[in-house]
Amino acid sequence: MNTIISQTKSVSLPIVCLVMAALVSSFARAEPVQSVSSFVRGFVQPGFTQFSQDAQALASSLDELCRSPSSAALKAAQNRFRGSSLSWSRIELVQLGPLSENNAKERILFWPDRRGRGLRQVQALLAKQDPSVLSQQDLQRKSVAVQGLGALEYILFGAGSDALIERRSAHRCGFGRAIARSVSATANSVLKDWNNEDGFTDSWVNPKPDAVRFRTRREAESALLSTLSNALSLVVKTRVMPLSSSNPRAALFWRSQMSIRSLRSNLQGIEEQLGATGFLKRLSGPAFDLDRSITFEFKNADRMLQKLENAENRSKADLEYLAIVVQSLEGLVADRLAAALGLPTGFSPTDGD
Amino acid sequence: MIVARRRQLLQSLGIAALGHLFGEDAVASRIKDSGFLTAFQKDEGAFFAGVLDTSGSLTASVRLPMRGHEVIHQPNTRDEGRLALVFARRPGTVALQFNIASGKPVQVFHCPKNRHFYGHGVFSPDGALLFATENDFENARGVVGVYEAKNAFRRVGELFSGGVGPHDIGIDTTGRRLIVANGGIETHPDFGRTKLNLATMRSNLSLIDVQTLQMLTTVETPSIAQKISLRHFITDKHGQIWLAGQSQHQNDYSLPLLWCWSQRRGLRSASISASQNRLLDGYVGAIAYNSCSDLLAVSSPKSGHVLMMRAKDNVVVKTVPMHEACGIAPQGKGFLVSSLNGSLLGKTGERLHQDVLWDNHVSPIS
Repeated sequence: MNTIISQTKSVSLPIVCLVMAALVSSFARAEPVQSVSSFVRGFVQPGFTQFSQDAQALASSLDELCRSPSSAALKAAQNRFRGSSLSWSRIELVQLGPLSENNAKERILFWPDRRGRGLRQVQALLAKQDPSVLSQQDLQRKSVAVQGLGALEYILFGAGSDALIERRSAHRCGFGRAIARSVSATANSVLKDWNNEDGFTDSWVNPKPDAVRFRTRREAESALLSTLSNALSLVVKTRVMPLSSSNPRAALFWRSQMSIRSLRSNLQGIEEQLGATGFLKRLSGPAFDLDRSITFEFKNADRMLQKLENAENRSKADLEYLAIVVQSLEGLVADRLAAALGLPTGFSPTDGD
Repeated sequence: MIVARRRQLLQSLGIAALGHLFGEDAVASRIKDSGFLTAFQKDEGAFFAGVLDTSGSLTASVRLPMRGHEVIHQPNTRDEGRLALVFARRPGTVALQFNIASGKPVQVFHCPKNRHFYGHGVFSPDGALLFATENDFENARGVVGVYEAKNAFRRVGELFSGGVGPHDIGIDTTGRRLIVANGGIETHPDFGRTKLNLATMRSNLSLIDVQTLQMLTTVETPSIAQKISLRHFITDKHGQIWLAGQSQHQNDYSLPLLWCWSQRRGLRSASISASQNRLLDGYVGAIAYNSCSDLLAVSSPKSGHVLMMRAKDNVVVKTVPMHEACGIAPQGKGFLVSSLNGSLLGKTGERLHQDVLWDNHVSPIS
């Protein structure tokens, strides 16, 4: 400290001013938070781009089905639904950011829907042949439970969906088309928000002391790690646990037979997200093996999901094993990885009360 | 890990800068100080409810079969030894009564199978009845369970809480009105603590007539605060109810968290500045009021700050950094604050309990 003071004393005023200007400028343009930047640019933006494209293709397939109903057109729409559900499952757990705005997440998929509100509402609208569900704008003013993939799955795969190959199902088809357009519009809006470099992305990548949300690098990285651990927690509570319940219809996307595949996509997405952050490359010292432990558990989960995907009957023991593995992953990320990175874990919003 | 967190805690504590609100031992007009009740966890993971004396020493504790939340003093139990009650944290179903002096458990009771506790309750002023916030989860409806204290806490009935997700509950000094903060968030034990209705949630304050069980008032948050969950409250000597919220809007910490209701003016956000509101990081863990100094205090364990303000004019008089500060209770002319990290800050200064993690709430023994 003394050395710096004595050196500063000996230099001329213009040089001091230059140094000060450089310091001020470097503070004004602080380095972006690399982990967040890589996460957003390496995973989030491409992931939402893919989903947006799939949702657009799904909407087009519904257009085609309603224009020229046929078995082939129905099959094409069903396949587009399956594709969209997979690309959605990869990114849906990135719930911080644009998906939290204007209930975008719930508009695309209202889940868990424990009391089956969505199904009841969709069935009632179909029974009434309600004309207000045929327009995307009108539909977006209704309950989020009738606007998203859950409702569309019932239209395309639920009771009465066979009739979509005939013109007499014009109302059902039009309802499905409005849902697909609504999902596509919401997906586009979310993608646009993520791609807007002056919006949420900028606030997260470049924390500022006077910001509404992220003020420090530590806060930004802590939110990133929480996003990952919350994602694992949600997978256990809202995907694995319903699969293990005595009611096989409690699982998400059971009608389209996508329960296991979408769950696999959830976990693959989280593993990719973790890779994109670069967090695991920072590990050293006692935590050097954490990288391998996490990879090992992701592999265990994926192996079990492959087995379950091909199984005719899912054994309770296999599902319990899966829950244990994903819970273990949550612990590795929320506790051990957080400790190794020196990020706060003492308080989690999901833990709060 | 815990060692690292404790070091960080000690570094973050500006004890010298805390000033008279914690430090002064005012002789005149201070809160009667009979000690405090709180739930806690030991480093090895076991859960307890405990009794603290005025200097922050743990004088008694009882091991719990679950994580506890609020611990409350049971009035009029001097004859049988002073008693307290601890509730399981949601979605727990157990409550345990214990002796304040010895820490010995007296009795355990459960809510019905189709309900769970939210972790808060209040006794009628005579101690005869217990009112507990509960979840009728199959119907996504908040209820207040009513239990007879003298009859092994037999559940004698329930009433609608006025909304979804009731949390904190109180009773006014006359004993005539129950006050309930309905957080507005639907949960179901099948999905743990997952929030099921964020798109449509709406929090409210409900006042219920204890005699007639009629709903007197239900006041919802305005639409701008649709994603604010009002969880905890206190009443002040001016007849106002101060409510502290938790934001469910992940991207925006600017929504007002502190609200004030009065019969005359209805529900309004407290007039604290945006930067003071921002200091709470979208999450208030607890709120307390000191009638002697007419101060109220709110804590944010997320941001590690305690804000103290005058009830009469909403002026924030102090912001205190304290890592993971959460539990608050009136003490002297100021407050006792506990941290999730094991620290206690009160009128006798700061005290760190090495092997203890304090839970969210501290209650005074009355």
